[in-house]
Amino acid sequence: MALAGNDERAVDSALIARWKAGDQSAATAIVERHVSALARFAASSGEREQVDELVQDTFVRAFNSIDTFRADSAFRTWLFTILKRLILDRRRAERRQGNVVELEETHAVQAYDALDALVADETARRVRKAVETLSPLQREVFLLRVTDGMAYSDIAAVVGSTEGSCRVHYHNAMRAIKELLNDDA
Amino acid sequence: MTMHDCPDGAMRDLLPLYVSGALGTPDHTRVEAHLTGCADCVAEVELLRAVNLVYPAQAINVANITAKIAAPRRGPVRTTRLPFHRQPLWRAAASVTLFIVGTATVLVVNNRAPADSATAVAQPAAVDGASQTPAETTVASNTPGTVVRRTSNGLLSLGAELSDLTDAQLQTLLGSLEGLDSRPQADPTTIATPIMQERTQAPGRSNQ
Repeated sequence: MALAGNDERAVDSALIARWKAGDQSAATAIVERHVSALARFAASSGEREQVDELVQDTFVRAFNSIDTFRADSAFRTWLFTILKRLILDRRRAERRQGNVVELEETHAVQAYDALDALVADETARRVRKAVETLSPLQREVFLLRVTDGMAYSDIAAVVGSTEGSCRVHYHNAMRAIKELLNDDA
Repeated sequence: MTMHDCPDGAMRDLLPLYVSGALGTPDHTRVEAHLTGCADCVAEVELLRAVNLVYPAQAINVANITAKIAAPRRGPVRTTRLPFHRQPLWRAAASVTLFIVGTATVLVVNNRAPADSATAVAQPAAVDGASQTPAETTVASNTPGTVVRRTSNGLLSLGAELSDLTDAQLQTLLGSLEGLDSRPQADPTTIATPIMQERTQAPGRSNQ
């Protein structure tokens, strides 16, 4: 079982203090604790090709400005907000260059069609398809809640919304997925 | 199989945290107890586990990332720019200006103080009718415009700044000041008399 929220924060704070004191191994520990969650979030946001780069940039940026981290939220939440900003910046830049990568719902489904062949489990394939039909905001909220077990308040900080709104988005997403799977059955 | 929602909304809220292992022990135990009797929640948990399988943790090379992280900067580092009114240079300039203005004000007030006090002490005498203008005697004056006067009440007044006085004048002034030590600044009887007179005269006036 994972540590409760406060324990997680305490571990992160201790590691940050160690790193500030000059212990470079603390940086490795911090990265190991959060890298998977960030990579999964980047991938689920449609940035499969650039996951490595995005996650790396997130950590570099976070460590460069770690003095600005006020510990009002969990360290992981702070990392997610940095990653989210990087993703949005990248999309904006690509849009300016004419490489439109706006993730429409239908695009997302088509993008993962090729991967579906690799998914052995039929249920998993249907679940993926159902999740990809959610709106981008619904999908973000839903996946942060399900895959990372984030509190609604932390999700709200990442997606720039309110706690209540995130709760509604989560339950709407769950209802939509169930309906889709029920129709599919 | 058709999935339905469990009527216990609070419990459904905990299910994703249960699946991702983010629950503390009491809530974890509570959810497990609920799952033994709720088919809807068991189905939802299976769905959530499927989502976790579909979106697995990504393998990322940690060494590549840590290699790019610079060593920590020692000492307190401010990365955010302070607003103009909170910048140290601005604060220092404001402090110096305030000090200069304050000092100048004190000097101006002090330069006026002797004349004012002489007038203040002379006022009761005027009320008494003893003298309309207190007589002044020059104590020492070598330089035009630098005058130390003694009023009829024995108080001193300066006609110029202390820095303008010569050593001899300062000695004279100090001697005079020592003589004043044993005397009160203002004679309470001379100040109190008019007030007392007014009070004692007041009933008489009302009778008139």
